[in-house]
Amino acid sequence: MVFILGVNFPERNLVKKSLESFFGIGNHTSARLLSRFHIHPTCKIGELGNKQVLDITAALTDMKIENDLRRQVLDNIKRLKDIGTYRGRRHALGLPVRGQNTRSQIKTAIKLNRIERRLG
Amino acid sequence: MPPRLNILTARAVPVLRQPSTSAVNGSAAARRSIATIVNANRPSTTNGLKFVPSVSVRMSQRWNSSGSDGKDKPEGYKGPTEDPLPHVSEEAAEVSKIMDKRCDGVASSPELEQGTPVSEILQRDKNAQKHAPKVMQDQMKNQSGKRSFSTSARRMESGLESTNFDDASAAMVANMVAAVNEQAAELHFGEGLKFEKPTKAMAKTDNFRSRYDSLLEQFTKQLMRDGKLTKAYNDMSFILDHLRTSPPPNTSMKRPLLPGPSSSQLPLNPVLYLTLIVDSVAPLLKIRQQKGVIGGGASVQIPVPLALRQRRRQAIRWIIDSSDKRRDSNFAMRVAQELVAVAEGRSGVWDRREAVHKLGIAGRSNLAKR
Amino acid sequence: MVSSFCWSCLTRLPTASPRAMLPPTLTPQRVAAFHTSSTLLASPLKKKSTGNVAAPRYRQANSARMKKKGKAVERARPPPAGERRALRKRIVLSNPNALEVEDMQDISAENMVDSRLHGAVLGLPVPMLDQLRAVQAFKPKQGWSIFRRPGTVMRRESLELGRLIDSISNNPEDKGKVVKRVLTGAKGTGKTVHLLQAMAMAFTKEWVVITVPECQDLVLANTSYAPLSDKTPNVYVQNEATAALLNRTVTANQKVLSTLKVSREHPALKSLVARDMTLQDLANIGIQDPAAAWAVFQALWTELAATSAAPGFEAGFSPRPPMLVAVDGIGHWMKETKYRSAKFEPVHAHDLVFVQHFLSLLKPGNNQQSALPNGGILLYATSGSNSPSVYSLDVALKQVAARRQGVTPSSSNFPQPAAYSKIDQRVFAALDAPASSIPTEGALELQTMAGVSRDEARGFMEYFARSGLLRQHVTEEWVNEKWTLAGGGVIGELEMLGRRLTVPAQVE
Repeated sequence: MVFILGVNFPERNLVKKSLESFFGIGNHTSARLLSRFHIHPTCKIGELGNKQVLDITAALTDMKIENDLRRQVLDNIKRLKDIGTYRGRRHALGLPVRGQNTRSQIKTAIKLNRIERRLG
Repeated sequence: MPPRLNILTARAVPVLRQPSTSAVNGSAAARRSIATIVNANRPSTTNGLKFVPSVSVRMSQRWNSSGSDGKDKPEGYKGPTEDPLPHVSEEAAEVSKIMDKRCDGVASSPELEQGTPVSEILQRDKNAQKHAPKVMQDQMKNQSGKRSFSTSARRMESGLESTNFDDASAAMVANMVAAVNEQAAELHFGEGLKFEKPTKAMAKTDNFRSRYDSLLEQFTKQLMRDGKLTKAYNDMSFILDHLRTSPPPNTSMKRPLLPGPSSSQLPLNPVLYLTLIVDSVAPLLKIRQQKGVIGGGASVQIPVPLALRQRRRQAIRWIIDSSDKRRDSNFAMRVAQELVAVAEGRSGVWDRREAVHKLGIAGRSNLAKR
Repeated sequence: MVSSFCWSCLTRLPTASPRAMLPPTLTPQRVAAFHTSSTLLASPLKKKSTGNVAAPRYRQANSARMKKKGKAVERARPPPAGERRALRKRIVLSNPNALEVEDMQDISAENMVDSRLHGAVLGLPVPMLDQLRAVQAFKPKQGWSIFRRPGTVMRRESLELGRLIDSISNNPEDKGKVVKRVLTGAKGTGKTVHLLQAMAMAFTKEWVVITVPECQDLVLANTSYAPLSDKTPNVYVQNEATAALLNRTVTANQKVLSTLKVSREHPALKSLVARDMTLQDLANIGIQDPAAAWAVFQALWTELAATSAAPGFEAGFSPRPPMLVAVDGIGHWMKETKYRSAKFEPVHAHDLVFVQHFLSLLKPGNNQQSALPNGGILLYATSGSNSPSVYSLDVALKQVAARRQGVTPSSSNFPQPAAYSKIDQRVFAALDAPASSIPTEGALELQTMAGVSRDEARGFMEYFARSGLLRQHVTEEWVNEKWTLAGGGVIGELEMLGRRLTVPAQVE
């Protein structure tokens, strides 16, 4: 078990997959992170050296991920509502924001767009 | 009553002619010399043989000519053309006698000069007979004209066989011809064939459809899933390699394979191994459920015998089905292991076969109701 | 029937039946029923459970909810990690059911130069199989598994190679001779088996054999990598792969390496190297500590390349044996790898220090020393089945052949890449090996493997028949047919035809 940014990962997991479990890190970012520290893409958590773990953790703390990123997104939506824009209103009404039709297929908007928006 | 013959067709049937006629009138260029020699005996032949012309001969010869019709009818009934025309050479001699201006007895054409056969000369010239080549002398001495073997190459000329050649030299020449024919006969006719057997350009196995054993083809086709025949072929070669390399089966006493080579020999011949396995578990019959035989909608189980291909199909089906219960993830591996299990009598396929046979025995009485 | 109500006031008329005016009785009336069977009352309606059938919420989709089908049934546990790979890579070298081929000779020092054995199948000596397995000379799909024990055909190229190895070992004139070859040829022409034969012959002569059995493993980004040093951030070292190479080398060459002693100081390894250490122990340091593997490999290489001992080390010095370096599938080393640099750019294979080392051997040596100072053979094979198409490599190999034939690079006949084609200059640079100034070092040559001759094909097919695998009369005609079917004796195809179980040709 290796701690990366306070999260415990089993040793058999791939490093790339583990990084992608953080909110805000996808394929693009994780691939670049790995190459930055010369970790090959099929590396497992258990194969990481101590220095590499510390490097990754340090790099992750500098990035805006997880709750910081969530808060930023929520703030952006809140700003839209506060200044009374059309997009803000659509967020609050639970309707699609970017001009989609609303006759059918708006499940994602119904699910996500609330007054009390949560990101998860 | 002789069969009615169409005149036009009858004219075109030379085969039906009387043997002697055809021999005399034979037009084949190759047989010219023989014909000439036989021709020398013609008077005796005609005298000695009962000459019964067939209808076709009558009809085919000179249908339109009226000249010879009523001319000679000496005794009894004689057909209109029964008396054949003289031989071509005789005719030619007559014509030349009439036409030729020369009266000194020298023949006018080389044809007639050659017309006297050697045999004739030998016959009348004792001195020449003495100085004749040794072969001819030997033949004259030895041959009495009776031969123990047939000289004829044609069935229709069989009439000639019994001819008593009073002329030894003619017999001798005919004998030589016969010897040549015999030699030719020895070449090709040994198997009752008239001509040489044709040689096939390709062997039977060169065809891609008959390249593999028929059971192998059948098994492979049944291994096929989703129409992927190439994969089925690969699976089959995997299975055969597995049979090749796995240890020889410990055949059980209770469920033995069909008689064949000993089990240690089997892996060396995987096709035979596979054939023995499949044929050993192949059911002899299937059970047909027939309704309405005894009435009341109840069905009756009637055993039906299966042909070889059907039996094998059922056995292969069972083997593949029971291999699905194995845990190995590789399909070919599963089937291969199942095959070995069948060979060792451990497989459930044997039970299925026994169950079908038991049902078949129980249903024997139903056969009468069919 | 007339209604019993008054039409105007809707009151009951007196004409109504007296019974209707009676108050309703409380007791249930017993009416003689028409049916004699007892009445069966329906059970009281149960309230339907409203668990799932909630009314659709506002603006919620109201379409029918399909039950998800094909939900994966819980299966048995998958096989443990590595088991499937082991099964896939398993190499079976023996089939106890096959017949033993009598009078089959093994490859030995005597018969590898015997031209009378041309076309015969020679077995690989059984004690050597472990060594050959250690250097991964066998590949999984080569079909060794149906024979009693592995054997290879002595074809013309093999005999020539045998003579070469023999003369480098024994002939004083050829001592220290270096032959550098790139093997090419179509798929199934026996390039890898040629490498295998070379290894077997080298083992019989007690050479040191160093192999890279699969070039692709180094470029697939499956093993760890790191910059070689801070000074050279663009050159990468693969420690795990180097440790694996050391492991292969030690296992296979244990007999030779355990007799050789260290002959100089190795400053990179400092205190790890003792004075009278054997080379086997030296290599084991790298196997145990992959971080030091590259330094250990370099030390091992300098030791094997040493022609004399450094001052102070003369006591235990014994001359080093020649070396065979066999690399299979160099096409993968001629393009960019799956590794990424720190800037997320693809790393070229020539930036891997491991690859660099082996490719530099193709170049003429420097400092008055050939690439292999103690002599030996470099055999680098391309692959027919698993090879990326690298245009630059194709042209570069043509250039190698042209240079060998004496065509100068400035000549118009010298093969050049097509104009405007994308070429990789590093590939051309790697294979551009001019003739060496050292007499014992040969120039880089190109050996193209093709189909075997008819005699060799016959010997190969007879091996099948004598192993009991082929139930056929091996006649001249039959062999010629198969030789033609195999594309002119491509031996991989011949092998397939040999194991194919067709109906034997019926003589008609």
